Amino acid sequence: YQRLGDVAFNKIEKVSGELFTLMYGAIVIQVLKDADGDAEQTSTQLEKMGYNIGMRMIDEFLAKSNVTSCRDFKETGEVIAKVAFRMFLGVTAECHHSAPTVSPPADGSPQASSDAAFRLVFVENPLSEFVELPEHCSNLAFSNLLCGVIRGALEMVGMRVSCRLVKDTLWGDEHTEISVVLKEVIAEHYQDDED
Amino acid sequence: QLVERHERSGKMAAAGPPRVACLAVISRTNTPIFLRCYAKGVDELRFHYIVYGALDLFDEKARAPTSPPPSDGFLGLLTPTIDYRVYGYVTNSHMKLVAVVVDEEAREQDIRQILIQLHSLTVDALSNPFQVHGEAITSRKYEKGVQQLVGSST
Repeated sequence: YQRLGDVAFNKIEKVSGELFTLMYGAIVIQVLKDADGDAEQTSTQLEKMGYNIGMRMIDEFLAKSNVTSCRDFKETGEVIAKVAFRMFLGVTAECHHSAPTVSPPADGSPQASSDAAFRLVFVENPLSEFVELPEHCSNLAFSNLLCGVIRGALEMVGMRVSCRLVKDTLWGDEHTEISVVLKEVIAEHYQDDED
Repeated sequence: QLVERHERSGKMAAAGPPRVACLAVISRTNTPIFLRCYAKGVDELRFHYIVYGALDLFDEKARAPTSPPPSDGFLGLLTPTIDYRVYGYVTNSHMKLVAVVVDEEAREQDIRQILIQLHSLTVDALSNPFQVHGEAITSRKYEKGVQQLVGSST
């Protein structure tokens, strides 16, 4: 998949990295302002924005990247890490497969016996270059847009996932990590034309 | 006596890196963005006076074009005070960078390099979307970077 990623990266149109970084930074600041400085609300907003982006991005991704269908959720993770990240962000992530989460889900719903999951780990993040989080929003999930993008994109291809920014270099961690957990495979409903 | 001193510095083996006593970044509206003193045992206020006093000289230099016009905004020695030499650097966006240096034999090239790197660090710090332009820089990365810049010269 590394090779597919490089090929896709070379084919796709590029924009200035700095323009991208500064633009995203400006968006985050504006969302933060609109939310009156509420970091959590901002994080949620960013995720929603990402969701809308992701559901549109998936078509471009599938069209330009030449990936074939994934056999399992593990492969989905690899494809996102090696091809999608490379194609759209210019960086390659690593995909780590973890054991299913043990802690009960926050919303009280019955836990699936084994949630398929993977973690996307990356060090370089073009969204947050030059950024330093100030004290009053040190818990802001600055790159939450990415979580939304992944969630939106996967939903369009039949997977309902929950996506969370687990670690962030902006929080002092040694790398940035997004956890993606498969909640449900959406069954296709075919309308019966006859009735 | 002045000539003697000049000759002596010319004959000296390459002087060591300049000892920076103070670095300052002033906005186009003359508000301080950053000011750090690295000379031990000297009252910081003194450097504030030196730096602000030097600000007027920026305008003077701008009004009297030197020939040839500098290609990178380095204005050179602004004013020698009793113990220090004050160098200036102006950016395209009219931010003023000031370096107050201790050594008399400091090479202009070295000072120029220090100010160019300070400019670069400042640009990175200002690219932080949380940094309000015109307000003081509070970035720890910036502090560390400048500390290294000075440290390499002390």
